[in-house]
Amino acid sequence: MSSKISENIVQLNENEVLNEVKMRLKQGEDPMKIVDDCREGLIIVGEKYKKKEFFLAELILSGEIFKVAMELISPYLIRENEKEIKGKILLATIQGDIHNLGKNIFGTLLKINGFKVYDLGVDVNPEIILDKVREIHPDFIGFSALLTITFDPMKYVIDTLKKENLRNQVKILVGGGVTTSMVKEYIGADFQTIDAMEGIEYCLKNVKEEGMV
Amino acid sequence: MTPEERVEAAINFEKPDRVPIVPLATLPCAAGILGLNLGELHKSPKKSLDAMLKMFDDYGGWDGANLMPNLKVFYNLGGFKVKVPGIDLPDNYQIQFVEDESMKIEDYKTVADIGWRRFVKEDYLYRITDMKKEDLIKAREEFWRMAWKATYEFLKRKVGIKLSVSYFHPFFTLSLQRSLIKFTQDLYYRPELVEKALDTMTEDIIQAGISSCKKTGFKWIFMPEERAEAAIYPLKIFERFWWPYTKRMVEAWHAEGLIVWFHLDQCWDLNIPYFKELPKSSVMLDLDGLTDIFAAKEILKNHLCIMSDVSASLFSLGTPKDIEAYCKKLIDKLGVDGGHILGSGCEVPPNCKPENFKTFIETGKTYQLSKK
Repeated sequence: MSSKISENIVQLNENEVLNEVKMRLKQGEDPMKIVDDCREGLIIVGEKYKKKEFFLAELILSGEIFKVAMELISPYLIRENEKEIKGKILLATIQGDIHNLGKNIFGTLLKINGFKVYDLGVDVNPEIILDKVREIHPDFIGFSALLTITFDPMKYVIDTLKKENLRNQVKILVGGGVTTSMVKEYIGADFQTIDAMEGIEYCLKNVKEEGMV
Repeated sequence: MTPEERVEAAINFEKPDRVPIVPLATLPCAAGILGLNLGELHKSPKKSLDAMLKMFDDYGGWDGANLMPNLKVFYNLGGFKVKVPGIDLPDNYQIQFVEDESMKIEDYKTVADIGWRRFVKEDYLYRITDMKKEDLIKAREEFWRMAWKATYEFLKRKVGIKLSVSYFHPFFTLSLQRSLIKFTQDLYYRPELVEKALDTMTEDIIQAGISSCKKTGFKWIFMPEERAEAAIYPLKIFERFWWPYTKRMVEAWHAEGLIVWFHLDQCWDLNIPYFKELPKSSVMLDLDGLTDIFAAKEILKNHLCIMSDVSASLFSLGTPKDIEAYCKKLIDKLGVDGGHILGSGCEVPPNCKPENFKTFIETGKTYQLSKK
């Protein structure tokens, strides 16, 4: 562990992280270096989660610390470094479902891991999702679902992408308590999980294999 | 055996004539399989109860039932902000909780001082609804009228599990009111505040449960929880903020002869061993498909009854053959000689195929008997 910031992120010491960020910004340090230190801590948290030493709670808390730290750092960043973006992902909880927690947690973890996230929110009309896909051509679509009535709208989106020959340009993930491998097959997604970190691993593996970066 | 005798046998690890069947079939299921407008049902207590009774009668009944249609006002009276079809959402949507941090950090102290129910009645209810004080009396009257009517109707139908009351676990209650993220921060950064509130809420619920059960003469208390398990929190959090309060409630109610129906959503694999500490037959664990139900059975063996987990996705996407095969597997593996109630894991969804629901009920009723 190379910095106090990353160490304190792993220990979930929010105040210490923020004080350190403020101090280093005041000293005129390169803000990207501070971001890198934050990410280093978050990567360790992710590794501990994989080893089952940490749980979703620690992912949530470290992600929240990162979000506040980024609010402090952002004004000092001249512009987002496009080269750093590993891939574009469109997230949505589709029509019929207004739950946003799982989607938001996954969105935060994606950002931490270098993805550009387009979060369309909850109860999203399938046509809005399709329009956005046509506009930004994401590398991934992530559906979050807690209710069975979302199955058909998700299937509609994927079927329409097939008709428009857009399906093979995008990997589609579905997650949430109500999803199973049967749901994945039914809607025609590529990947299903109820574990946010598994979703992140899937995206990272694909950007590496497909050379999306 | 009567449904009541069958359920009692399962709970006490005696041999029922067949597995008891208790699906969580409430309004969404009734609307779905009867082809009714869910939004319309949510606007009318009478229509909603009629729909639940028709579903029960049309499918030949089962051994235990939720006695109350889950209408908006009933959630509100418990302090839960919800959006419901026909009122806040389109007709074909399902009731959904709203987690918008209506409860603030400073409210923990109030809850610790006066208890959750008084806090809801005097303050919180008016934050999460547009109800006025004079509406409260009307709403409570409506609640009790509905409760007695539903109870009367289901007693006529001789259901085995007669639910007197339903309380969300204090931990789950706080998590929903603060939101998962804020509550997680509270647990790690402000633990004493949370503990004091949990303490008062636990005592409050114990007394309320005993009082309600005495009023109705029923002995079942339904308690959902989907936020305390090791899918979310490490065991140190579970051991500090969930388990001691749970044990206190269960032991107090068990001493009064009451039984808790724990509805445990998400994956509880690491938490299941703790339940062995509870008195034998004091609770029933209702799992939703994410916990390894067969491993749970191995751990709890002849100590606590398990309600099984035909999942919402299987009800909506599977075929009758899939349903039949899974029900048979559950019946064969979980307790031919008691300790198992055939259940639906979570609520049977509104897009459940009617033929799947029928197969679920029929397999439960006939499979064991067909083998004799």
